[in-house]
Amino acid sequence: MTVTQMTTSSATTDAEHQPVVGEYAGFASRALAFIIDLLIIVLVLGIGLGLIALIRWFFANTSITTSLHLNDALTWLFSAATAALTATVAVVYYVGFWALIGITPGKAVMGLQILRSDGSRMTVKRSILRYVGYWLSALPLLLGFFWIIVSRRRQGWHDKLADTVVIYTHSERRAGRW
Amino acid sequence: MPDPSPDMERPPEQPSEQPLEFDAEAARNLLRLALGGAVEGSAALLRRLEQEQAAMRSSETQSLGTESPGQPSDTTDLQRLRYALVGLLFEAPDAVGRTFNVLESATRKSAGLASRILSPVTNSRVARPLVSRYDDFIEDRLSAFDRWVSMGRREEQTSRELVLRLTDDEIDAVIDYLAEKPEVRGLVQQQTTGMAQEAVGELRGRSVNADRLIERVLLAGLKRRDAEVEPAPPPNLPRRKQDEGRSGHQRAGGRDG
Repeated sequence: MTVTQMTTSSATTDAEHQPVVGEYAGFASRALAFIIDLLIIVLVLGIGLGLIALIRWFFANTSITTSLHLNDALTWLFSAATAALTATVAVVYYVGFWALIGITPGKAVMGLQILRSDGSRMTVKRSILRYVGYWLSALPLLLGFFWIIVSRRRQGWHDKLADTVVIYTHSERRAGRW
Repeated sequence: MPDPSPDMERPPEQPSEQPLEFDAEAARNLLRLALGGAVEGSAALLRRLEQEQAAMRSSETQSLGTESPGQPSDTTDLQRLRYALVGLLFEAPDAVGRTFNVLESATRKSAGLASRILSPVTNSRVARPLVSRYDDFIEDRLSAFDRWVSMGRREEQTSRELVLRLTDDEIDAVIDYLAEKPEVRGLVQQQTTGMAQEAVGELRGRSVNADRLIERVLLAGLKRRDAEVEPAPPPNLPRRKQDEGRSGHQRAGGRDG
């Protein structure tokens, strides 16, 4: 082994032991954070839809609603409530968390934070743009998400659209490959 | 000799010693405790011993199936002597049991023989009062023995229940004490939090390594030489972030690809 090789190897090992805080977050960390967020959304949605179904079961097709001919109206009402809840939970979750604190619970677990590319905090407008970008990234077979891997600043299409970056806020780094 | 004046201070009277009364009930309770502890403890120990022996037997059976038959060749004379002594020790109970059986049989036969030989004497009128007194004595002892048996049976059961109840109560008291102790509660909470933090740290560390691996593999597949090059973080990062991450940043310049 030459001196150059030894120096390079030593530098690589040192880099692997350096903290990652402040560096752009990679695909796997962000994917895990996304999955955690999805699980939370599904849980919240499940509870909400369950409550709606319970209320519907309580009121619908009773003697009162039948005599007042309210069953169709109630069905329409609860369907609309279900659709509204389904549509809004994810929007409120993502946009709310991004705009307020710049992280979602999933990203907090994984030690990630979203910032604008100039380092400033997220705004409501940027958050909405980023959420729209999620759908754009997902439409072409999730290509917009996989763009994180090849991007030099690890930005997906949603990040580019909203001009945001995601960085590590933790200092964990394990030696070795895994 | 002058009489002691009535005003003279007298030494304080020693409290008269109370005669020690033997508290039979306390002694009985202590005895119950000792007996119950011994019975329950030995029963638990025996159960454990039987479990261990069963486990050993099963493992021996398995190992015998794999070993070659015959004695191992590396057994020395000294080891053989030691094994013989151990074997003798374990055979001793059987031998003692057999000896007792022989002795018991011999005693019964000799007693029968003696009874037959002495029957003219014992049945004689002269010896009748003596024999009658002897029979009374035996009858009395046998009834005492029966009383002891019934008392022992009852007391053993009571002792076992007492010890079990005491043990349960004490364990509950210890658990309650530990649960209420702030240090212990703090320790448990600290341990739980520490474990959760460790798990999250592990997850983060592994995911960072996964990030690197995915990028290396994919960018190597795309034949991009600058796979390792990472641009500097955004210039206007919050102060805290920059300070913490200064050592980890690679300052290669930022150009998005």
